[in-house]
Amino acid sequence: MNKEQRQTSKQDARKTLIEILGGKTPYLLSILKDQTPYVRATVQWKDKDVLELPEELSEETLTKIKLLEPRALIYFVSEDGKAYEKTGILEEGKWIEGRIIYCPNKNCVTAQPKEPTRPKFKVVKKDPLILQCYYCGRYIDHSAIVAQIALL
Amino acid sequence: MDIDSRFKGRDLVSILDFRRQEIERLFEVADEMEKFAKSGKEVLKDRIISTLFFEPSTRTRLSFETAMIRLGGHVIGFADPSMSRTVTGETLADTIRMVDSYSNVIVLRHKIEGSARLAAEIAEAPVINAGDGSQHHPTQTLTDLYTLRREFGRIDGLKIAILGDLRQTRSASSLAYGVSLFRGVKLYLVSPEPLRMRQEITDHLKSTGVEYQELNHVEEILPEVDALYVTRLQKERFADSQEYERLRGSYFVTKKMLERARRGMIVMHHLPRIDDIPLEVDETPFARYFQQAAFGLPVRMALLSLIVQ
Repeated sequence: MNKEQRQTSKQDARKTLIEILGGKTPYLLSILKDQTPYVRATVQWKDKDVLELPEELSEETLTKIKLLEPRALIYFVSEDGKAYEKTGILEEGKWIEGRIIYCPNKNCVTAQPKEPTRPKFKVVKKDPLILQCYYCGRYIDHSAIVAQIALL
Repeated sequence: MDIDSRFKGRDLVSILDFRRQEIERLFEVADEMEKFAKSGKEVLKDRIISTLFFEPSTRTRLSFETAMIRLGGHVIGFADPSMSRTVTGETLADTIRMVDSYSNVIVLRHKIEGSARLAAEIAEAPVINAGDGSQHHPTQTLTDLYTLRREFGRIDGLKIAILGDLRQTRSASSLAYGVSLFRGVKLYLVSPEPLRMRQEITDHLKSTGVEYQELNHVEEILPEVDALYVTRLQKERFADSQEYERLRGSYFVTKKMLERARRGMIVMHHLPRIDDIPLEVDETPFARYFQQAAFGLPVRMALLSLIVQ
């Protein structure tokens, strides 16, 4: 995305722009399924899509997008028409908590339906993405994460 | 804060919950406790330990219970999950809440990974992990490290081979984590290819500067190592019984093989042994696994006396 495209008008205030590899767009639309009627996808380059949404996204949705594609770029467009990149969503050492994704280890305590656990994962590596479950310590690689999100 | 105070009320879910300095202090206390292993020292008079063993155990459970009795305390709990209400569907969390109200310390063994961590979150009493699935077994590691220290006077700089099912044996992964707290240890991780140590553990070794090498056969490094730690192929950890049968007998240690070992090398094992160490090795000067198991008592006495102050 170039500077002119980032410098949007005030009419586009409070929007979210997502730049993502084209192959991942169908999964992204699945994450955004409640907003898809308002999504306008524009093919900018041969391998990337840019999606525009008329609102801010929740922290949980932003996290899901970055888990799907860590290299996705997410911009928030403010009232003054300027686009600011949303950073710090997925940083090495950061914890991801809540029922965003689940641990695929069937022997993990978080996989036992009646136990009062809240899934929690540490970002071990960003690229390629590796998460580590707080409870069982197992690694979860990016392909397993994408497979979960694809089933949403 | 003096170092002994740091232990009070602490949970022990992973060996990495302790720092090196704390482990060394625990070993000093274990040295003292060894004198009282048969006679007792009533530092925990009338305190209660709950031993909740959802998986079988001989050494770990009996040594914890003996430790508590020797320290003047009492034991409640179960060695068989069929004796608990979890068979009727009670959750582990509810069991822990209930037991917490009766105990000064809880010792938990469970096949579910992360169970001890959940128990530690719920209970006010300290929780000691006696083994959770294939993940951690910190008191086994304390016993193993104590054995090495007693044998060699140090742990820094030792060369240790861990042989067997490194993927699923919690004693193996725990030991790898444990040696990362010391300096200059070299690990030889010897296993059939399908049983290699999990990446999260080898990544931890890399990030903490532990030199390690992965191998298929133990014979080639026997002349190099100070200690050979043998693990059992655990049938209960295999989801696929055919895989277990294929791998069964794929590694073992014999008296003949040990002719290549250097003088002073020791053979350790977390026990029980099955096909991995034959009886003939017991007679060799290398065998230390029974002494290793015996050290579990003063080590657990030390741990309990420090945590349940």
